[in-house]
Amino acid sequence: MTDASNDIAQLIDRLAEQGYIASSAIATTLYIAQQLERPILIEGPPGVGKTELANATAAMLAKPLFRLQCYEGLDESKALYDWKYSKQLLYVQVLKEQLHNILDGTEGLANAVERLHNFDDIFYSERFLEPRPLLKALQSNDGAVLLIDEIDKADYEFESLLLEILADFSVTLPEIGTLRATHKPLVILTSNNTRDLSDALKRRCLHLYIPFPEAKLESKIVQSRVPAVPDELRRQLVNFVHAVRDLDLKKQPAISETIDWARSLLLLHCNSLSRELVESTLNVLLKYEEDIAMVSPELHGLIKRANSDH
Amino acid sequence: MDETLLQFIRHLRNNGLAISTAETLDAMRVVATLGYSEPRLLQDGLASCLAKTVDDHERFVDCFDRFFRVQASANVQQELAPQNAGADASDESPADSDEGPGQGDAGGYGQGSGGGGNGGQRDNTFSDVMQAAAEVGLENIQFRTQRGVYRRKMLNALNDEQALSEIQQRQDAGDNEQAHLLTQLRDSRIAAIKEIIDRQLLLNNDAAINSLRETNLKDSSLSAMEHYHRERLPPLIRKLAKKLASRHRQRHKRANRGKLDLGKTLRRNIAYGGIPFHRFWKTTRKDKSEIFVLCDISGSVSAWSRVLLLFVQALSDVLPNTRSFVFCGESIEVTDLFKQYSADDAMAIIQQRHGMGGSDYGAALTSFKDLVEDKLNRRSCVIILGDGRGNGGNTGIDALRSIYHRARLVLWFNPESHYSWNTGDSEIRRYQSACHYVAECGSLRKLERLLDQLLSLLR
Repeated sequence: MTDASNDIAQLIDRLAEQGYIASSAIATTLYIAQQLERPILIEGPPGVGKTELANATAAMLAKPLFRLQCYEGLDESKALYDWKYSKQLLYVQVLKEQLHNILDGTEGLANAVERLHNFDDIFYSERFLEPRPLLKALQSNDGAVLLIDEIDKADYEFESLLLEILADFSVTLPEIGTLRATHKPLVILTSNNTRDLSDALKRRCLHLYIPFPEAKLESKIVQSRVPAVPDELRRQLVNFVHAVRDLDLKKQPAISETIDWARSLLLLHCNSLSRELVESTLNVLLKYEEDIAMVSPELHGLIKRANSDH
Repeated sequence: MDETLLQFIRHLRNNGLAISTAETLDAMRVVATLGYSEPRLLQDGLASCLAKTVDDHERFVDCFDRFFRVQASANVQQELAPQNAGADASDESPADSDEGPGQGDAGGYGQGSGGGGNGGQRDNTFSDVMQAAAEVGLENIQFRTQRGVYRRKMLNALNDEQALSEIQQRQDAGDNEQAHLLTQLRDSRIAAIKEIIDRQLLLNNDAAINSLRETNLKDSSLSAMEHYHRERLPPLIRKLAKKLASRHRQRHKRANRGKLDLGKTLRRNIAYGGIPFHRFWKTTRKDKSEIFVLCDISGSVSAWSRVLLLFVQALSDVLPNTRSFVFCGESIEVTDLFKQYSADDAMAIIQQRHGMGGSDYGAALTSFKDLVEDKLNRRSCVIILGDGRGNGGNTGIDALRSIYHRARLVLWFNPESHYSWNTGDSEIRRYQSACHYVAECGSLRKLERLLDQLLSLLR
C-alpha cells in the first residue's frame, strides 16, 4: 500500500461516514482534485449521485457549500456579482443634501467638477458589491465547496465566464479589478450531457463519469441510506432494479429511485418481493406510463431473476 | 522527464484522443502523486485528466490495458535481468510475486512469459531482447512491412553473427550437445523478438493506418470509392461534423442582454419618481434560419446523398432547423426518419423505400416546391444535391426558379467534377441560372469546406 492508496481508502471511509458510498474511481478523482487543485467535471445519467457527491464532500471537509444551479439565460449578474442598485440609489438620494456642503466655496462649474473628481468611485466599490455564489465561494475565508450544477443547461457564453474562475480561481470585475481567492475552493461541476461542453472548459477540469453502480455497490448504498431494510429484501430489490435497467426504458431507474423504492417497501413492512407488491409500487421506480406498461408483463421473469441472482 | 508517460500519451494521441500540453502536465502531477505501483489507481487517476468524454474514456481504458501490458512485461524483465545474471532460475519466484497480485492482468502476462519450463534462461533472453528493442527504437515501428527490417536490426544488436559462428564452431568441434543448446537459445531469442515486434505493431499500427486511411478517404472521390471503404465513412463524417460544430457553435448565439432600454426603464419606473429601480434591456431578436436539404438518391449520386444527409444530421447541434427530403421521382420528406432511427438505420430505410429508379428532376422539383413553398422565406436556405442529369426529361426549372425567388439562398451541390458539367444529358447550366451558387463537391474535404462556408454565412 502506498501513501496515495492509503489516503484514497481513507477518503472512501470518510465519505461513507457522510452516507456516500464512493467507488474507487470516484475517490481517486476526488483525491487528485484536492492534490492538483483542479475542478472536477462529473457526468452521468440523472440520479446517480452527482450532486450528492458535492454535498457529502462539503460535509466531510466541514466547509460551506455554495451551490449554483444553471439554467438557460443565467448570466454573470446572477452567478458572479451584481451591484446593489437600490442601495446606490438610496445613497444618492440621501447624499444629495450633502452636495451643498461639499461644493461650498467653489466658484464656477469647472471648479465644482474638479472637486467632485477628488472623490473616489465610491458607488462602485466592494461596499456596493452583491456577491453571488461564484464570488461568495472565492471570498470565503477558509475554503469552500462550490457546486455548479447542470452546467450543460447554461448558455455557451456562461462557460467562457467560468474559465477564469476554474483556471486561476480569480475573477476580474471591470470596475474594481481582479479578485483572487484567498483559499482555493473545491469546485465540482455536474453535467447531464444534454450538449457537448467546450474543450476549453474540459481541459481545465478533471473528468469523472459516474455510471449506474454495480449491484454490489448499489446494495451498499441502499444499506447505508436505508439501514432498516432486511438483507434478503435488499439483495432482491437491487437485483430487480438491475434487471429492469437491462430493458429499453424511456428513463432508467436511478439510485435515488432504488432508495425511494426501498423506503416505500419498508413502509409496507414486507420481507421479500412478491408480484402483487412490485406491481403496486412500480410507480415509485418508473416515472413513465410507457415504462410501466413495458415492465409489467415481464414482472414474473424479472422477479425470478431477482431471486436467483447472487 | 517521465518517458513512459510521454510514450503512453503519444499512444493515446495515435488512437484519436486529443490531449493538450496542459493535460500532459496534469497527468505528470497525477503520476507523481499516485506512482506506478498500483495500476488500478493510476488508471482512474489518469483517466480523470486525460479522457474528457465518455467515448474517450472507453478508448482510454483500451489503450491503458494494451500499453501497460507491454510496458509491465518489459519492466518485469528488466528487474529480473540483474538478478538472473548472477543466479539461476530460482530467483524468478520472489521477483514475480512482488509484482503479482497488485498488477492484475499486467502481472499475469509477466508470469505467463516467465513461468515456462526453463524460466531463468528465458527471462534472460527476454530482457536481452527488450534491451535490443530499446536500442533500435522499436517504438517507432509503424507498418507491418517494417517487421523484417526491425528483426534484422534487433538480431544485429544482439550479436547474432557471433552466436551463429559459435554454434558452427561447436559443431565443428564435435560438441553436438552444446551446439544444440546454443541453437535452442538462438531460436527462443528469435521467437521472443517476433513476439515483441508483433506486440509493438499492435500498439502503433492501427493508429498509423487509421490516420493514413482517413486522409485518403477525405480526398478521394466518392464515386471511385469501394463499397468496403464507404462503410468506413460515417465515423469520419461524424468527426468532421464535430469539428465544424465546435467551430461554429460559439458564435451561434447572440448576447441575451443588449443595451439599456432607456425609454422603457423610465416609463416603468415612474412609480418610483423616475429612479430606475427596475432596469430593462434591449434584446436582439434572433432570426432562426431554416435549412431544406433535397437529395437525389438515384443510383448515380446516392452515395453522395448519403454522405450529405449524414453530415447534416451530425451537424444538428448547430443547425437546429433542418428538413431533409429525398427524391428519385417525387420528393419525400425524411426528417422524421432521422428522428426515429439512428442515422445509419434511417439511411438504410430510405434507400430501401425510395431508392429505386432514375432521377426525374421535373417531378422532384415541382413536388418539392409544392411541399415547402409556403414555408420558404428570406431566412430559408435550400441545398440541392444532384448531378443535374435528368435523362432528357422535364427539368423542372420553373419550380426551381420560384424557389430561388422566395428563399434566401439556393445552393446546388454537384458531385461531378467541373469538367463533365454540361456534357451529355447534364442540365446543370440551366439550373445554374436559378441557383445562387453551384458548387462542386467531389470529395469529403470539399464538402466539409462548403458546409463550413455555409455555416459562417448563416450565423
